[in-house]
Amino acid sequence: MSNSTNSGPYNYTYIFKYIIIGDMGVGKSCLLHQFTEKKFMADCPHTIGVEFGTRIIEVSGQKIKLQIWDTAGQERFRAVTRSYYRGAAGALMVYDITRRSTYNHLSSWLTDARSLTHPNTVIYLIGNKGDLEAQRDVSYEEAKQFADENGLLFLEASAKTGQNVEEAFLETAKKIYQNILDGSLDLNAAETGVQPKQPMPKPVSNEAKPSDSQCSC
Amino acid sequence: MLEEYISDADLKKARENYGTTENPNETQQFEFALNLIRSKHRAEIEEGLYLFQNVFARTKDENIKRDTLYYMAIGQTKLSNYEQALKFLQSILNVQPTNEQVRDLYVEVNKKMKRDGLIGLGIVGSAAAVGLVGIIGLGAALLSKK
Repeated sequence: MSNSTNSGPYNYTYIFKYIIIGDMGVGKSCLLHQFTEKKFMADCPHTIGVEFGTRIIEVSGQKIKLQIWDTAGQERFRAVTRSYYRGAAGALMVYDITRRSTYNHLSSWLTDARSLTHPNTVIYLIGNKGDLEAQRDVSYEEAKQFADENGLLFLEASAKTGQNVEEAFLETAKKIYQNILDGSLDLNAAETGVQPKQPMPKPVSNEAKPSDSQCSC
Repeated sequence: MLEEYISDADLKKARENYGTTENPNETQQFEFALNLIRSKHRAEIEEGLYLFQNVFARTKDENIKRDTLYYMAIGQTKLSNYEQALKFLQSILNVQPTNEQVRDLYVEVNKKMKRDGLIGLGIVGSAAAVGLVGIIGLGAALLSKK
């Protein structure tokens, strides 16, 4: 499951671009950090504008590099962050299950996401801070209904414990990959957020091993 | 952020928008300054830096002050004023020593500064080499004349 593969960091078939959006303080950067570093950043300062993270994952045997743009939640960054929506294949829309206001703002985030991304962009709704059950302010059922009505994938997750974080990022990629396979995502169209990368030429399995002679050691 | 640019058309729109805003508040000033910093053109980046200084002076919000310093560092870096940029970033790090985003930018600006310095040295170095070859050549020419 880790991103350290024996085939090197450049061996992947596609690049998928993601954005993470949602109100300030819902834990967008912490989700990204948990996904890329498998660590929880307690007490992290608010993001300035945008931050960037990457990780290589595997979907149906294909290596895919995720390029993830983590956006600041504050209003004053909206003009900048909007420019990152363009060409996103996946959008993770995050709210905080312990703060209803962050849930109430989802429709405005969704409007932005829908109007600024490709029609096939996969939008994943994440209810973060799932570990804080005692302070819950939005029920699972309510959010699930909102997600269903708007055709969004949905999970509750916790950047703190790591619960469902991996799942949200991977399921988004699976859905994008599925859209490529069934042809609903046309790779020749502009700004799909998917870049195919020519697969690296693989050394022919059992026969001569030309790579040995190139060893620089 | 260092390689992300706003299109001239978008900046023109932002300028028109800002121009019609009466008594812009600090958020509106911040937004417009940020658009200016994202320009490809030196004069606009300088205008953005000036506007950010205004925001920095007027705001009481510590977060806005910090964000302003961060973007002034980006603007100064784009103008190749690396030392000024590092000073702004250091002043954030004095307050938030573990801010990774700021630390990353600090490292990047530092790298850029060193690279630019090396390029500078490279040019000076090759000029000196040409000079030396010239002198040797002249010496050889003089010697062969004798």
